[in-house]
Amino acid sequence: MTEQDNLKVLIEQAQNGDETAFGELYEVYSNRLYAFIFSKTTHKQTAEDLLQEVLVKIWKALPNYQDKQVQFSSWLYAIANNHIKDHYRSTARRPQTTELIENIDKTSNIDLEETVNKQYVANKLVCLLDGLPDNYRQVVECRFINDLSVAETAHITQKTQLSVRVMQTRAIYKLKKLMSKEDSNLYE
Amino acid sequence: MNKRTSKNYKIFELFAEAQQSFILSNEAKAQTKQKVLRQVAITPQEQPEIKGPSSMFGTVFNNRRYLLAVCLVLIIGTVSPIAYGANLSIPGEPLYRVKQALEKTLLQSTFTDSGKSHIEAYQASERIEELYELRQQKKEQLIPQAEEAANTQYNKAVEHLTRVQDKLTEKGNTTAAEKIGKRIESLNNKAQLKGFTVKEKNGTVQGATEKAFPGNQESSEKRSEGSTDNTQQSPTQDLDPSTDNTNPSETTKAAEQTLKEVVPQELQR
Repeated sequence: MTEQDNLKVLIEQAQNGDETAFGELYEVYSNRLYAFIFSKTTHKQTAEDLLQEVLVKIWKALPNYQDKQVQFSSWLYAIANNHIKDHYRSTARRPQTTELIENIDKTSNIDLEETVNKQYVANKLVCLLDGLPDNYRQVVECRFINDLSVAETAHITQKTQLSVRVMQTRAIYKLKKLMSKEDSNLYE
Repeated sequence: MNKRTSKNYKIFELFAEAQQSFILSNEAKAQTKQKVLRQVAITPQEQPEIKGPSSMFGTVFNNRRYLLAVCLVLIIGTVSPIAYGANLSIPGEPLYRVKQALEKTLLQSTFTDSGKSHIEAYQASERIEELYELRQQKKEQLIPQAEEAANTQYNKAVEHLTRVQDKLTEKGNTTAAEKIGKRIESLNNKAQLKGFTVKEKNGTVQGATEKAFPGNQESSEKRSEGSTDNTQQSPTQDLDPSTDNTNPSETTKAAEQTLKEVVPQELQR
């Protein structure tokens, strides 16, 4: 039995109300969903809370998922994306990038310097992404941070695959410009 | 990050590094799983949507491409029969106004003088056809108005075509000038076949051939042989269904015979 078949069986079982199967699906997709949510919220606690809410939403909607229509991962990301939008609509605020450094878990065993460096990189990237228009930012997040395919990105952003490719190219071009601007500011 | 590499490489390096910080820690993962499973246990799943026969319409109306295609089919399906029906209508019928509007639009959307003259010739031919139909159907009330319209359109078309022909001849474009001549000829033939008599603006009556080819004395003489009054009656006038109760097929044959006599040999070729 291939991994794909195994996933299919798990999805079917979860659709029929099997909580254990849903737990296994959580193991497979939680990291990717968290990265997707975190790239949009840039706040650890908010990302975790939203992940929890999204997963409950997925559980509720699972019986309506149809294998033939769309890939399971795309369906999950679409739900997560809509939930994040609803979250920001209800709280009426944009994600805050300044909180990243504050999110370091000081109690964990991970090397503090390494953690700070990672957070710095993430913070820098999110600052750069803030300079992009919303649709470009979404494409970049899906393609390069969450490693989604063009088809999956197109499904989440509700655009055609061609326009996703075009937006990706333009976004990279814009990011390059922003980076060189940042570099020149640094050297001045 | 201190490396001075190409900008593209720097961006993707940044993405790769950032991905590392976007990973959920094992501890947080386990905690979230517990919370989720606890909530899942008390949350009922939604019932799957049962799609009935109406789902087909739902698919059509939810998909913009299908909807556009359906709209196009509906528009074409509605407009085409109306346009076709309007094209066959005669004065007094409800679709006749549509026909007039379509003709007006066609004329306005043509920019060349030659093209306009051809459309005017087509319209004149249509007016003659309508007049013939009205006479066949014996709609006496509408005939004078239709006659007036046919006369006006015929004069306008012939004048325009002749003007265009003259211009083309002056420019030395004989092929195009010949085509215009043939168009006048065919319009003239139709007028003869349908028993149409041309009236000048001053009220004088003139045969269609005479009007289109005023310089052709030979044909005028030929016509005068079969006519008692050359100024009041054209050779085709005795074929007029409103004044004559003969069989239409006989009328057509007689008109064709007259046409052979009247139209110059050159034009017949």
